[in-house]
Amino acid sequence: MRLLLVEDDLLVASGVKLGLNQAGYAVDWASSAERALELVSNQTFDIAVVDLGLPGQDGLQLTQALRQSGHSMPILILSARDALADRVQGLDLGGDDYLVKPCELPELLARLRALLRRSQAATSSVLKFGPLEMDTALRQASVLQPAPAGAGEAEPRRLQIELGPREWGVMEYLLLQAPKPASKDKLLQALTGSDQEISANAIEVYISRLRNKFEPYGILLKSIRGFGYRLELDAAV
Amino acid sequence: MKNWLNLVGSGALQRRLLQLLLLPLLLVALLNTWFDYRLADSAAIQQDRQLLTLVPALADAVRSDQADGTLTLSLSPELAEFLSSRAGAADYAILNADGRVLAGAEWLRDYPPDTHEPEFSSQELRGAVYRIVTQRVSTRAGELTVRLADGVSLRWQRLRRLWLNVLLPNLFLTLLAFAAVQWAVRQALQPLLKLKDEVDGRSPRDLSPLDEASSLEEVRPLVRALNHLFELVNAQAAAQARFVADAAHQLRTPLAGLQALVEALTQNRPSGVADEPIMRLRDATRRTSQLVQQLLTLSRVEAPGGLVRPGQRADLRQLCEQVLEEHLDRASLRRIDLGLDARSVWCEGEAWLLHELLSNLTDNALKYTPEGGRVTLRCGLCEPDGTDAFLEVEDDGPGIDPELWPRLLQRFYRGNTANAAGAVGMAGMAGVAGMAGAAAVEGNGLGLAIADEIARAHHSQLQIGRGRGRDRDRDRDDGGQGGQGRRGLCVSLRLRAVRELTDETPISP
Repeated sequence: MRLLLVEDDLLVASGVKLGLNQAGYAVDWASSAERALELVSNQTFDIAVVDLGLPGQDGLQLTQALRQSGHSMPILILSARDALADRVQGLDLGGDDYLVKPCELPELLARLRALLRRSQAATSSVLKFGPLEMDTALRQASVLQPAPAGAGEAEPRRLQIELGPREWGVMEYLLLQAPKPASKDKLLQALTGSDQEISANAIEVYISRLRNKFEPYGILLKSIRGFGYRLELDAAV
Repeated sequence: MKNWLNLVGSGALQRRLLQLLLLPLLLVALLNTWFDYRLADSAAIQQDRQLLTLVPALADAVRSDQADGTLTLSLSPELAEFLSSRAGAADYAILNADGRVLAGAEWLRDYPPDTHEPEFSSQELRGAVYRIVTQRVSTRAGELTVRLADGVSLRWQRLRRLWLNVLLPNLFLTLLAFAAVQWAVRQALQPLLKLKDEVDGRSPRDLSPLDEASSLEEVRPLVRALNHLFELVNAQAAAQARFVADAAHQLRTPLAGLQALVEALTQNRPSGVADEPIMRLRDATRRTSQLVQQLLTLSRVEAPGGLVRPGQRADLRQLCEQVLEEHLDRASLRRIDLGLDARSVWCEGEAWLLHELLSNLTDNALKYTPEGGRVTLRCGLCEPDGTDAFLEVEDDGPGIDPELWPRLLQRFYRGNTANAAGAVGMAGMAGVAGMAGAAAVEGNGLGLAIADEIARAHHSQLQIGRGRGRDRDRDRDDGGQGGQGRRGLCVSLRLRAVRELTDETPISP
C-alpha cells in the first residue's frame, strides 16, 4: 500500500513513518501541502494521512484541493486540534476519518485498514479481512490456510468456504462493518427482504453455523452483549 | 458573600429592626403612663383639699345640747350642697374622744388622731373606696373629731382610667407595631431575599451576571457589586482555563512525536521477546498523552460561560453504542465482556460532552476490571413514566470501599482497588517491580473528575454505588461465588429526559 503522509513536525513524521513502514505501508512523506500536491500529481496513492496545522496552506485547504482535483483516495486527518468544530469541518471538506494526536499506533493502523477496506469495496468486488476474502461478484468466500507446521517453504493455500445465501448475507454484512460491530437490529434489517421475515433466533443459528466454518481459521464472530456481533481476528492463530 | 445573605434569611436583620423600633415605642408608652399618673395624683390632691375646706364647716355645724350630751347639727349650705352632690356617696361623722359616733354615719367610727393636723385615709365599703379626712377640732361642744368621707374616689377612678385608657392602648399599640414591623421588614427585604434565592439557586459554575434592570433600586448597587465580583472571578477562571488549555496544547505536538516514535519502536521489537523498558516507556508516553488530553478537556468543561447550550439534546442509546464501539478493541484485548443494556431515550444535554463523560467512565471500568470481567453500559428512563433518564456504567471488578467513594471524584485521586497490590504499586515508581504480573493500570485520576464536572454542567452529579447485578445470569454467577470477591462498581447519573423523542424521530445531534 502506498501512503502519503503530510506532516510538518519531524518527530511525529519520523515516528509515524517508522510505524507505518513496519506495518507494510510504503510511506511518502511531505512536510507541506505544496510538496504533497506535487507528489500527488506524479504518483497515485492508496491513502493519505494529513495533519491540519501545516506551514503555508493548511491541512483543510489541502484536503479540499485534493478532492477538487478529483483525487478519491481515503484521507485520514491526524491533528492536534480536537474541537468538535474542527472534526466536523475536516470531515465536511473531504476527510474520511479524523484522529486526534497523540494517538496509539494500533488505533491509527486499524483506522487505516478500515478506510482502505471501504475504498476497496467501492472499486473492487473483493472484500478482505485478515485471512478472509469474499468476492462479492463471484459470491465466493475463501480463507488463507496457514501452512502446516514442518511444511517448510510450502505456500499457504486458499481454501474455499461454502456458504448458504443467508450465511453469505450475514458474513458480508459483518465484513463490511468490520472492525466496527454490527448491531443485531441493523443486521436483521439488512437481511429481511420484502418476501421473507427473519427472526432474531434465525440470526443466531446462522452466526453459530458461520462460527463453525470460520473460527478454525482464526476469524471470530464475537457476540457483543446487548448490541450485536463483530468480526475479530484471533490473535492466537 | 454568603454570610450576610444568611443573616437575612435567619431574620437577624428583622430582629435588629424590631429591637430598635420597640425600645422607643415602649419608652413612649412609659412616659405616657407616668404623665397620666401624675395627673391622677394632682386630681387626688385637689379632692383632699376640697374635703379639708369642708372640715371647718362641719365643725361649725355642731350645736351642743346641754341636757343629755347629745349633739345636734345644723349643716351649712356649703356642706349640704357637697353631700347632696355626692348623692349618698358621701358621709360624715362627729366622734368623741373615745371614738364613739355622736352624730353621722356609724361606720366612720374610729379612734381620734393624736394631733390636730388633718389626716387623710382611704377605706373601702360596700365596693366603693372612700377618701376620708379626719381632724380634731374645737367645736361649740368642746373638742371633737370630725370625719368627712367622699365616696367618689377620684384617685381610684383615675387609676382605673389610667389602666384602661393609657396602659392597655399602649400595650395594644406596641403589639400592633410589632406585627406591622414584622410585615414591613419582610416586605422591605423581599428584593434582598429574592436576590439571595437567585444567587443560592445557582450552580457553582454559573457566574453569569444577575439582571440589574429588574432589581429594585435599593438593591441595585448590591447587584452591581455582585456582578462586578462575578466578572472578576470569571476573568480569573477564564485566564486559568486558557493557560491550562494553552499549556496542554503546546505539550501535544512534542508528545505526539514522542509517542509515534515509541509506538513504532514497540512494534519493531523482535517477536516473542518482551522488551520491558520500551513497553514501559510506551505506557508512560500513552499515559502522559492521555493526561494532556484530559487536562484540555477539563479546562474546556470548566471554562466559564457554560458549555451546555440550552435546547441541546442527546440520544443516549446512540451514545452508548458509539462508546461501546470505541472501547471494544481494548475490552477484547483484556478479554472483558463489554456489553450494552440500552433503551432508546433522549435527554437534554450536550452530546459531545456526554460522550466524553461516558467514555471516561467506560475507560475507568475497563482499567479496573480484571481480565475475564464484565462491563455494562446502560441507559433508559428511571421509571417507566419518569421524567429522568439515566446513564450508567457498571463493572464486576473488585469494587472500591464505600468510604473511598467521595474521593473518587477528586482530581488526581487514584483508587486503591480491593486487589490492592497492583493498583497501589502503580501510584509510585517504587511499585514498578510489583506490577509485572498484575494488570498494568494506567490512569491519571482525572477521568472521573472530568465526568463529574460534565455531570455538574448538566445540573446532575455522578452517583457511585456497588454493582447491582441486574442481569439475571450474573446473579446466578455471583451466587456461586458468594458475592465476596466481585462487588463491582456502578457509576451513574440522571439527566432530564426528552419524552417526546423516540427512535422514530430522527434528530441528529
